[in-house]
Amino acid sequence: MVSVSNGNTELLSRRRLRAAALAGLVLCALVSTAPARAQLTIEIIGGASDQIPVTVLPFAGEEGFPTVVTQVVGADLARSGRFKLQETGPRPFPSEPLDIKFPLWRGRGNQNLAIGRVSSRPDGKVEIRFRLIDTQREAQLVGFSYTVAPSQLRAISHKIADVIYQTLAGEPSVFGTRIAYVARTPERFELQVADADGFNSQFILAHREPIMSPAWSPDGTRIAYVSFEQHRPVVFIHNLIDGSRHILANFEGSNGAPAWSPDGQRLAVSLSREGVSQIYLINADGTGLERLTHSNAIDTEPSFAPDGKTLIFTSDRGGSPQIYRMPVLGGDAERLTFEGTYNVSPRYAPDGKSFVYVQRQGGRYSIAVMDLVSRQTQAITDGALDGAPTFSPNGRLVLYASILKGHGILAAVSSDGRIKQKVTASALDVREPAWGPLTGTR
Amino acid sequence: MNRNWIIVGAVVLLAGCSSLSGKSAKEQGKAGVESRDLPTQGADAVRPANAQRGGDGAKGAADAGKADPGGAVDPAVVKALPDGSAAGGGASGTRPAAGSSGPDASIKSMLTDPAAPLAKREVYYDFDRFNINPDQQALVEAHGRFLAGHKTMHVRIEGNCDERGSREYNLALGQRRADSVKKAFILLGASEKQIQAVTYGAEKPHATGGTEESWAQNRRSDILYPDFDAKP
Repeated sequence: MVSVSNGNTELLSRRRLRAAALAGLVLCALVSTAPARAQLTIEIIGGASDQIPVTVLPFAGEEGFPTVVTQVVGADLARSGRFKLQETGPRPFPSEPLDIKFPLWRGRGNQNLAIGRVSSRPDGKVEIRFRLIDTQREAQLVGFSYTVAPSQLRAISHKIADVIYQTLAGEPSVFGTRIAYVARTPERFELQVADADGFNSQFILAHREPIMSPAWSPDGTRIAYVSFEQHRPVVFIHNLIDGSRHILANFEGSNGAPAWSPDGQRLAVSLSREGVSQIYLINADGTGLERLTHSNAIDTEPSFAPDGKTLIFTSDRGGSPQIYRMPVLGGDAERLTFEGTYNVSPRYAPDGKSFVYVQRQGGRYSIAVMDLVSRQTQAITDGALDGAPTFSPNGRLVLYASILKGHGILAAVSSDGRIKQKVTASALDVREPAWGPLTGTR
Repeated sequence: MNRNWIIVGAVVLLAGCSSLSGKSAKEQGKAGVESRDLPTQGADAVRPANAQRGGDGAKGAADAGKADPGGAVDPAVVKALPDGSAAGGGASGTRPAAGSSGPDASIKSMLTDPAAPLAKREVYYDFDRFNINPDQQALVEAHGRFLAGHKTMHVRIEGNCDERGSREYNLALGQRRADSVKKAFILLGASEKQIQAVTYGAEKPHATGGTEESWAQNRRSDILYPDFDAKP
């Protein structure tokens, strides 16, 4: 928890700086509403059949704060599709283990019970106490106390949801991760970064010229992307910590499709400097350019396997765009997709056992997953113009771009296709999602 | 429309405040705190010149400066910016070539008179193709011969794709489209240094109807004469 409290100290001072600088101007009221207007909202369709029941009781005292902790926790858990949220029952809600009438909760079938309390401290910080209780065994599964600045309540709520998810589902949880995407406003393109639930969106780059293909570094501190600010596609690396950027690839012709190696040292890019677009490897500082593919067709959209040994990519060397795999050290490329005449945008799953891609069937573009062992494919969306799929870092969800009534939206689907979510940003055209890693989120 | 402007205004204000947070971000860096927050938005991030190393810095700074919300920029200033879509960005994106002769009235009329063959500036393609179709040959030849006969003229070819499918694949395909026109021009006697071929992929559609007709309009190469074409 040390890092949590460090971060919060800084956040607090930042708040104060901002407040001092703006001295209560209307501006700051607008600051707090501005992200809300551009907020992504998420709608869930369907659910897993083996959902884990959990009861999140309202925490004592939480209503007094701008972020109601258990509302965020409950929304996170529901959105994952992995949990069935049980009714809370009558007040008063217990906030400490001693207050729990266990037979009552057992009788209602509420085995997993989250309880807690939120209270202000004299120094202006907020203390959040939280416990997850197994009512069958009358035992605490996990319990934490956090002390944070009020502005951190939402982040801590995601943290609590992460703890519940990891404890009950036994796998990494992604509520505290971030996503990047491109938003088109009436005036310009913005590269935005938001929490995984779409809140706290902020832009890191805005320009009249297009921006595309954001890609997170494995440690979550940098984003590579393609910007047309020089009136042609150039690949940049943007440091999220200090806001600095540098050009990664600015060669004659097209520069695009940045993908990070798992160790974060190198990227694969697609460059047309020697003719048609081919895949190259380049160090993250822009040195050490090395051509990887040698075809006379388009080779693009590389994605590294988690072990860093192979790449999958899109190529039209066979007459239509299809997905291929080849060793990062060079060698023959093996064709992976054969159905249909348009299979593009492959991305490895975090476990490397499958990949997600876009397929065209009957003029419709939808998202599919191929198992690399069985070579079985499964369509997981049925949209007309779905694209740009990106795995959540635990491999459970796929975030992708879709079109709804002529408007670009983001949507998510479980990687088995059973749970669908619409993630919509009102009044903005959004596209090109990229789900950030588990690390670098706190 | 109204709501959009509220959002634009709000974004500007957000950016203004965020630039203040940039200060504390530096302190945060010094304190060795982890990277939970996005400390820098606004001024620094918007101003590409800050970050450019050896790029086209001055131009980038000018462009972004107008949209820079770091200062007390009135939302109306943002509102007054030309839309970044369609041909506007392309035309404004290219500077007159150094040493080119001043606007020659007869050349200008050849390029812009709606009745002149060179006034047609768009080469259209079939889906997922970059070869020049027979019905586009005459247009390509007219421009190629013109360039061959006017060696001081510079042309910029912007390859575009319809917005279906992969944006990155379309980026590569747009380059192939622009390059195919460039090759044709060179075969017709133009020289390589007269021609800049760039791709906009699927990022600058002319038509947004989502119909086959709109898509067909978006699968094109735009032929631009930066020294002569009107600036938006």
